[in-house]
Amino acid sequence: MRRNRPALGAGLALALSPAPAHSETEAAKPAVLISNNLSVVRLRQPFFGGPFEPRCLRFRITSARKVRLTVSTIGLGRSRLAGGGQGCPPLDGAAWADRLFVSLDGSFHARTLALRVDPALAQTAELAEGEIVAVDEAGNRASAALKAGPNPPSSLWTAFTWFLGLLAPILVGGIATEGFRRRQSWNSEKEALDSFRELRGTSIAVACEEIKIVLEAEHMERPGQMIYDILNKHGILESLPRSTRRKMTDYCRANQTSAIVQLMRKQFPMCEEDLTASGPRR
Amino acid sequence: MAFGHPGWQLESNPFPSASVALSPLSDSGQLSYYFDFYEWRDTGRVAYIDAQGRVQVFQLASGPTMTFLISGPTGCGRSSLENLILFELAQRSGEPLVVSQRLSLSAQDNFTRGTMLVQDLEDAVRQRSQAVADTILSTFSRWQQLTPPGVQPDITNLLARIRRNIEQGLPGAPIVVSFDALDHSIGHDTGLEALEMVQGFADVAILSVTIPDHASFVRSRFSSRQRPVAWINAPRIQESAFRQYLERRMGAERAAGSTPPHATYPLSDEAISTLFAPAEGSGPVELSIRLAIQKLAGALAYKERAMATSPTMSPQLDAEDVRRSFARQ
Repeated sequence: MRRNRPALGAGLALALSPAPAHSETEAAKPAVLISNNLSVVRLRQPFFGGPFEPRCLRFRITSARKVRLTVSTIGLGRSRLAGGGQGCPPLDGAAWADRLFVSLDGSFHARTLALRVDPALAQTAELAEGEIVAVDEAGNRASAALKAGPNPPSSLWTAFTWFLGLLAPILVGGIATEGFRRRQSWNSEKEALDSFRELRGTSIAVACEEIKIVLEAEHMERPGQMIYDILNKHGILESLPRSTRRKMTDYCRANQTSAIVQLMRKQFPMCEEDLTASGPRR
Repeated sequence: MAFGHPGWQLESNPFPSASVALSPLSDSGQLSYYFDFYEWRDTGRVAYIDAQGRVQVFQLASGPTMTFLISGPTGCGRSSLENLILFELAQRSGEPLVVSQRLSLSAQDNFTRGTMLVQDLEDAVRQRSQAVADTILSTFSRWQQLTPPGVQPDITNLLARIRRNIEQGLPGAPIVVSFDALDHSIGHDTGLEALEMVQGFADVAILSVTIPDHASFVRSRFSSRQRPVAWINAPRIQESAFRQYLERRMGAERAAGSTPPHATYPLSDEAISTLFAPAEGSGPVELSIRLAIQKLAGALAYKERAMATSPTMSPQLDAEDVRRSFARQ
């Protein structure tokens, strides 16, 4: 399983018993020490809806006297505890519990425990301020503060989001404007073509007849060039929408007579008969 | 009298028409200079030149205007071929009345073209008959008077009237109208319009164009309308064809009793190859026949001058001679 890197540099959390209620009277009693290397745990936010990954943190607990402790957490959501002497148990295993009962023999022999930080803390907006708490049978309490929360956004990410925040409206606006402009231009070109079809029927008919002659001609080296000249002479090329005109020019240049015929039939259905009857030679 | 160096064993100049078109109508001796490297597209109507320089197949249509289309780059023998067609026509139908017009962008409308044609025709007719020429002039004047102001003049009507004048005054003289579209900027339709204008007026119409596709277009149009048409393409010549031409030319001009070392002597194989040597990285070279002949004629002249100063020099032209002559041309 993938492990998270420490979010911050090593730290030491130290809490001394007793609990506040007994702090004055029990000051001389041996202390319970909870130590870990981190005071802040950062949790990675998953990318694009992936599962949240829990994070394991090990800490040590020692005492100068023989004591039986109940160890739990406060303020850290559903964080769980387990024995950590052999390292962190599998994060999705059954070893984890809400609280642990730990017996210390008072010889300052440390016990290592593991804390599985609740992955849901990665979703919080701010750091959760919690504690690892150890309470003995007499109710004396020792704790170590621990903050947990999501990784802070990187400066690059922040810059990117700022950039996106500024650029997105411009882009969206630009695209919308360009789309509108193109639509308008297309409409006006289409209208021009419709009107050309209506008003210049004779020219179109003559051009189609001439194209037919080209298609039927033998030993013609560059029929595309001839057709281009014909389309130009009759003003047909000029009447076509820009993108269609470009296509037609390319077909003519490459002498692709079949493609030319196909495009002509589509743009000028009145040529259908001429161009179907002849059919391209090539 | 021999041509060039006596060692060449040539009776006369093998390339006397290096820079002008052949014209058998004015000199039938030029027939022997013709060489068939043409591409005959309608072999049923007109095709092939034989060893005597005559066209083997020459089928004129009776009735409608017969149209000849001649295409090819400059210097490839289009004018010579046109003159050969006129010669064949004269042999078969009597001396033709020939009117030549150069198609240009500035005189594209049929009115201008038609009236110019009538004026040229009147000149050609006047050389044969003053009376018929005068009749043509009066027909022209009447036609102008009858055309109401502001009305598009009917040039077809004028040409029909003129044709009747000629049929009555010079019966049997075929009318030949020749259009020359040398300018590359002239579109494919200019020649077509000009030919359309003289349909029914001319017995033979000839259109000479540089772009073969233009001829192909006109041929396709005329064929679809069942009009008699024949297309001949005059391509650039390749080395192998040019060798054949040289063998024929040298053989024809060889001095009687001579024994040349090879058929193209004094031109060596290398000399001919040098003429067609491709530039580095390019494909086979094709030359216009006029350019190829001019280059070789220049090489022969260079060699003759060189031998005058060095009499011991070999009379054969090798590659170096040709290269040197090119450098001086």
